[in-house]
Amino acid sequence: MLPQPAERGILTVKKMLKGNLADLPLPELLQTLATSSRGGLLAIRAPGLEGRVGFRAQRIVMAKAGGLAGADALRLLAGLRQGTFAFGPSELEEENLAASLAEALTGVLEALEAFRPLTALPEDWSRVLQKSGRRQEFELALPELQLYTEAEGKTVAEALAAPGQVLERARTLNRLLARGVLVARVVRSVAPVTLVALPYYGPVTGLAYVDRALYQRWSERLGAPFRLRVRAPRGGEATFRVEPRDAIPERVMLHDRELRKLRAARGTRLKVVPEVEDGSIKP
Amino acid sequence: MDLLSLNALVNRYVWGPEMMLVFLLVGLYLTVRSGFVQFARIGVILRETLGAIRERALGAGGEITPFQATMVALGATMGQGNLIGVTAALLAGGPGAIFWMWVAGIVGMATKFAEATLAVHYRRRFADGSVSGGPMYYLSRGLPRGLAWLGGLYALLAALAAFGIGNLTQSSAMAASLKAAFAIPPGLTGLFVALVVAFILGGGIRRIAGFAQTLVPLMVLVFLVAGVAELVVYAGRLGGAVAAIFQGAFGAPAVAGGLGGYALAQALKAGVGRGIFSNEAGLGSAAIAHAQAQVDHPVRQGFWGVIEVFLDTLVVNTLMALILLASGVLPQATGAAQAFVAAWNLPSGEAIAAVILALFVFTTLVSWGFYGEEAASFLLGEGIRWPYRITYVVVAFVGALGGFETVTAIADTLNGLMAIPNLLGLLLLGGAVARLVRGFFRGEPWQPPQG
Repeated sequence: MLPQPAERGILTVKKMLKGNLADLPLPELLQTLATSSRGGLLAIRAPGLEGRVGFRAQRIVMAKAGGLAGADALRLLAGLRQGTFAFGPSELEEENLAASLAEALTGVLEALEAFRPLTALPEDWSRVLQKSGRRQEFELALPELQLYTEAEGKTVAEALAAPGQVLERARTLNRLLARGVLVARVVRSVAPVTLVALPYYGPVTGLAYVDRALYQRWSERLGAPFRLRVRAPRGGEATFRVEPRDAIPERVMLHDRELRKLRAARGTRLKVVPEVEDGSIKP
Repeated sequence: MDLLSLNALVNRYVWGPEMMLVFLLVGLYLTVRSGFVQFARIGVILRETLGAIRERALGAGGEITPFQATMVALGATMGQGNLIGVTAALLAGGPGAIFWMWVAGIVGMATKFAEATLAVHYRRRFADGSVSGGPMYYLSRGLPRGLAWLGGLYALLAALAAFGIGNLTQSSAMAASLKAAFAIPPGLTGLFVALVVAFILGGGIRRIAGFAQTLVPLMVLVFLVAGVAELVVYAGRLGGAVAAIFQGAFGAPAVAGGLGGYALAQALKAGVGRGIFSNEAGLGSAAIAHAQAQVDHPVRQGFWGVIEVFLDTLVVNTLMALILLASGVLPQATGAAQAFVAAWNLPSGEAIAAVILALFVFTTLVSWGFYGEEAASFLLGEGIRWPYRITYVVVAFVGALGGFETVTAIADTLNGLMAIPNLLGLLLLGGAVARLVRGFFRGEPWQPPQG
């Protein structure tokens, strides 16, 4: 028998129920809520994924997560190992699950079991999938090759969210990550900044220099090699390899010729945003 | 030989033709070592300075912006020499002197470029983020150990000379001009100057820079507007004035008389002298201001050095010369100061001349106060700053009262002597300039010297 919620440290605030999936896994939570005879909406928030599960008359009648609906959404949510939840009375916008409570819970438990051995999948599903960059040959089966080409630049949650294929894609992705074909990097959003243009001269072009401190901040935030997209006030736009340089705070150094191509000059304020090198823009 | 006779003798040499030749030769040497920067990189220089004027309020990790540093330097450079000095050069050398002034000025651009570049390269950065630099630093840090004492010698000369060229001469000229134009008592001028200079110097380089970046462009603008208006008045004689410059440059009859070789020699001497001394290229003083600039690479500030000479010698001096030549006052002139005032043929011409002169000498007074203070602190440490400022302000007040010809004469010699260690240092550091220029145009980051 599953332990009672009170034993697992769930916070109850008036009619709102809040807690953490690490304390109360999804199957237990669903069972508890369904059998409590209380209708309402369970909102789940995890890194990279948000989901909602609707209850009415001791049944699970609605599930949505990462663009999926119904049983697929429940399967996807079952894979979460971290995240918070909140349950409260709410009007349900629709019903997309016709199965009985037992069938729904069985499906969730099966999904949970399917996810359990997939240890290469990161707990943080907001991580961005990228090609490893290693110079190594891999033999890939067709589903692996398909996921490999589709997944790059997507978050783990986005890569898994495919109708009717959640568990299969989870297994495939786990294999690709375990073999190092793909890597899941922490990529957080970096807001565009305005930097003042400073020209440099010489034979090397296609390169932008930013202050070492700013470069460090971006590197830590993006966790992956990145390029710099530069937008000039008069509409010119280009991307550059980026390297750090000392003593140029609030500046971006571009080659004199490239600066002129952007119809900019020393002192022009340029909007710059780092992009992860695979092309996924995270402004 | 008494002190005054000795001073007169040394003064003749340090401001004489022999020294002018040294200035020119060092300038030519630096022109070569810098890869003919003032010619070959003129496009880059213009884009990096005047073309980037919108950047004037933006700095990067230092004390003041490159524009502010240049305005502080220009404030010192532009003084009586651009007005009375140009008049004197025309009286001595005729219109042809202006051509040779241009030539010397163009050579001086490389000298000033090297000074500003080295000033940033060898400057010292202190724990509070402030910086100090200039010839005393590049001489003591850049030259071999056995010659490092030249830095101390330069600092001593600059700290003392500031009281003459930067202070007594300027405040007395200002007081005399304002007395003549507006009947303002010299004591009142002196008091006003002393109080304002005390306030500005008391705020350190940031306040000096804030003052310079407003007043110096305004001063240049006032001069340009008044000067162009004056040229409009004399429009009919402008072509003749320009022709006289080119004809006089190679020995044609000069305004003040003389023919052929003699006229050429006089034009050369007066013009080259003005082209060298007006912009202070070779004296090293402006490098003290350029060292304060927030730049990622010393060469970038060197470009501002070139522009400083361009504005001083090729723009302001040329405009002044054209006004004087077109006005036709020179043949009847009884002296440089009289001719300078007489040339302004606008309504309230005397008042305009007095205001322009007052602005020019006032900015010189402030900037030289900073130069002297920096030189004194190099010698005696930070504790000397306030005593030096107070002394400087007191001298500015008494200077307005006049009657310090002996002190001024000695300070003038000390000012001329500053060039000797500086030019020697520039000669020996030509290789460093060349390396910095090469590195900059290869896109390499600047590596400040260790230690």
